[in-house]
Formats: sequence, C-alpha cells, structure tokens
Amino acid sequence: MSDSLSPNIGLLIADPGDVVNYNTHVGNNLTRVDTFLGMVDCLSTSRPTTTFKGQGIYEEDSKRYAQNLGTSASPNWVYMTHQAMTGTAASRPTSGLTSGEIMYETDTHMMRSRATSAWNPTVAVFTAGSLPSSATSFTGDFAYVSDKSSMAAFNGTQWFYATPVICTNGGHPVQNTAAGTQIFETDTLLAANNNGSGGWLYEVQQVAATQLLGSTTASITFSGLSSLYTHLSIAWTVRDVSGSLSNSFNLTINGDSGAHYGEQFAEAQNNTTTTNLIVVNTATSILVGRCAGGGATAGYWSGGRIDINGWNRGASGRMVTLNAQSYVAANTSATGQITGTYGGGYLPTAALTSFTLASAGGSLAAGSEVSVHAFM
Amino acid sequence: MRSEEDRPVHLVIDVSKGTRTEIPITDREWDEIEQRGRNQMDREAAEAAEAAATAAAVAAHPDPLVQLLARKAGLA
Repeated sequence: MSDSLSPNIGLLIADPGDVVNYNTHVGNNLTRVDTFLGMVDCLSTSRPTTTFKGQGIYEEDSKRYAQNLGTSASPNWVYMTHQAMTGTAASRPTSGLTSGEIMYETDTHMMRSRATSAWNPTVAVFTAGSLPSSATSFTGDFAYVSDKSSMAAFNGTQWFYATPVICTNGGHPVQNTAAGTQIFETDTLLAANNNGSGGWLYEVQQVAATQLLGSTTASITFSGLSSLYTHLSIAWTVRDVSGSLSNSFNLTINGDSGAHYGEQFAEAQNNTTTTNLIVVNTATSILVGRCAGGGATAGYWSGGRIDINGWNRGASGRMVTLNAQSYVAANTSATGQITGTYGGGYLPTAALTSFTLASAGGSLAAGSEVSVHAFM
Repeated sequence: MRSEEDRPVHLVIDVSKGTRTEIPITDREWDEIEQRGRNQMDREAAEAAEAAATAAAVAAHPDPLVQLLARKAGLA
C-alpha cells in the first residue's frame, strides 16, 4: 500500500498501514487547502496551474471571474462575468435569482435584467413625468415612455421623444419635446413636427389609401373624416360607363342631397367658352369637373383636383367653399376637349365628416382613382 | 339591357375606421340607371334615323348644288 492523492486539489492521503508524517500528511495538506480555498486570487498574466476542473479564479487586474473548464494539467480558462444566463422566453428562471442578474433569450434575442421579483423589459420603461433627472442621465440614454407610446433619448441636456408620439389632436405632448419631435394624431390621422418653440407644423397627409376602383361603382364616399381639418384636397382620375363623351362630375357633403349647395363655373370646349351660375343654397350638388364617359375613346380619362376650404367650419354654419379644376379629353376631336374652373359653396347644418363623388351620367368605371389629402 | 351582374355598388371608405364597404344600390337607383341606358339607346336610334332621313332627302333632292352643299356640311 502507498499514499494516494485526493482527486481535486491533490491532498496527500496516508496509507492506513503506514506511519503518518506530520509535515507531509498534515502540514502540507493544510497549506494546500489554504491555497485553494474559495476563488483563487491571481493576475490574468499568472493564472494558477494546479487548479482542478470547475474551480474558479478572480483576476485582480481584469476584475473578472474565470472558470477552469479544462484539467489541472491543462487548464482552459473561460470568463464567467461577461456571460449572461441563457434560456428561452418560455423558460425564464423564476427562483434563486437576485436583482441585477442578466439573461439572454436565445429565441427572442432579448437581453433582460432582473428586478427584485421580475425580469425587466429590454429597455427601461417610464412615463413622461418620471424619466430620470438630467443630473443622473447619460448622453445617449434610451427609454420607453409608456404613456406616450414613444422612445425617448437623453441628448446631454434634456430627454426628448426620439420616435413619433402617438396622441390625439387635443393631447399633444408638453414635456420632452424639441425641434423635430414628431407626433401622430390618432383622431385626425395627421402627423406634425415640433418647431422647437412649442408649435406643431403639420404635414400634408393622405388620410386614406388611394382608392382604385376594381369594378363599376355608382359613387365613392369618404366618411369618418375629422371635422378638425382646415381643408381637404382631392385628386381624381375617372371615367364612367355611360354612352356619352363626358358627363358632369358632382360632389355632395355629409350625404346631404338637399338644395344647400351653389356652383359657378367657366369652361372651354374647343374654343367656345361657357359660364354658368347656380346661386348658393339652391343646387343639390356641386359640379367639380367633367367626367369622361363610356362614349369616350378607350383609354381616355378625365382628371381634376378639388380643394374644400374651411372643412373645419361646418359646425358653425359658415359657408364652406370649394374650388376645382378639371380636364377631359374624350377623343382626338377639338370638341372632345373640355377644361374648366369650378367653384362652389355649401351651407352645412353639422360638422363636416364625409363627401361623395359621382358622375351624373352613370357609374364610375373600374380603374377610376381618387385620393384625399388633409391640411391642418 | 344591363344584367344584374352589372349592378354597381356605392363604395364607402370610412377613414376613421380604415374600412372599405360596398353598399348595393337601391332598386330605384338601378331603375334610373336602366332608364338612362334606354334613353341613351333611344337617343342614338333617333339620331341614326334622323341622319338616314336627311341623307335620303339630300339624295332625292333635284338640285345637284344642294346635294353638294349638303355633303360638304356633313349631312349626307
């Protein structure tokens, strides 16, 4: 029989049949235990060469912990402090955790930190009034502002919304704004930019996708329009399925077919000019242009533009004015060309929320197209 | 005449809801469309009959000068 070594730190175990020597069997073993107690303190340039697999070291110079994944004879040191726990979103650990621990989710690729009793979102969440103070924030800090549905950044001076704030027309942000801060109003569907002094400059915004008719359509109505718009701009390219070369293209508002409209126009067909007037509050629609009819040459379309001014004044009962231009080329003859300028008025009884376009000659043909932009 | 398959719809775009709804036209509107179609056909038939009668009258006119002027005017 002979002495043997313990598997990890190599303590000398005396042969039971042998004589115990104090220095080799006790003193040296105590020194060895003292050497390997806990994490082994060292420098990154002079790591121990006698540590067992699984033992840890602390490097004073790099201030990092490492673990030996190799053997005593051939150590393989891997830093532990730069690695987060890994797992999936569905298998986040829930116990045995302390605040500040980091987790990397392999399925979502999110990094999460541990709060006292829950995992934190990837980005810290605040409300508009609870963002960290300027004194404690770093330039480049980033946060999510939950009551504004926006990301905020600290620019070294102040927090500001770095993504559009989702709000209503009456609920513009008053904190954390700077020149260029953007908003999107859910009630008007308009976007605006902050001018740096508290004002909001609205963009000209399309309020609905351009409508391209896929089949014959009797009329097209845009409803649910915010009555806050100062005016609307409508662009159209249409043709109808009547047998005529061209027909009147008419507009009504709020579904009102009563005699609450007026219109006036000046047109030229070939070299002949025509004017007409229907005084306000006597017409049942407003002529906004001429629509190419089904009798026009195939592939020939009419087009025009309509501006409705004072859209937001309907509730007060004030006159809503409209101006439009259009051009139709029904064929290649001189008399097939009609261009005109059209004006109109409407006396509303309620806030304006919709308008309808239709040809007096018949339904609109597939391929007709209308788009609507709003101004604030 | 038009078939029911040609029956158009009113298209309503609700901007606030982001919806697009097709509303069938009423029977009255459909009747009006069909009547407009009949009127169009009647008008075209009347115009064709008038043109044919004019051409026949021109051709039957005894004065060649009248016939020439009528042709130059596009009446025959």
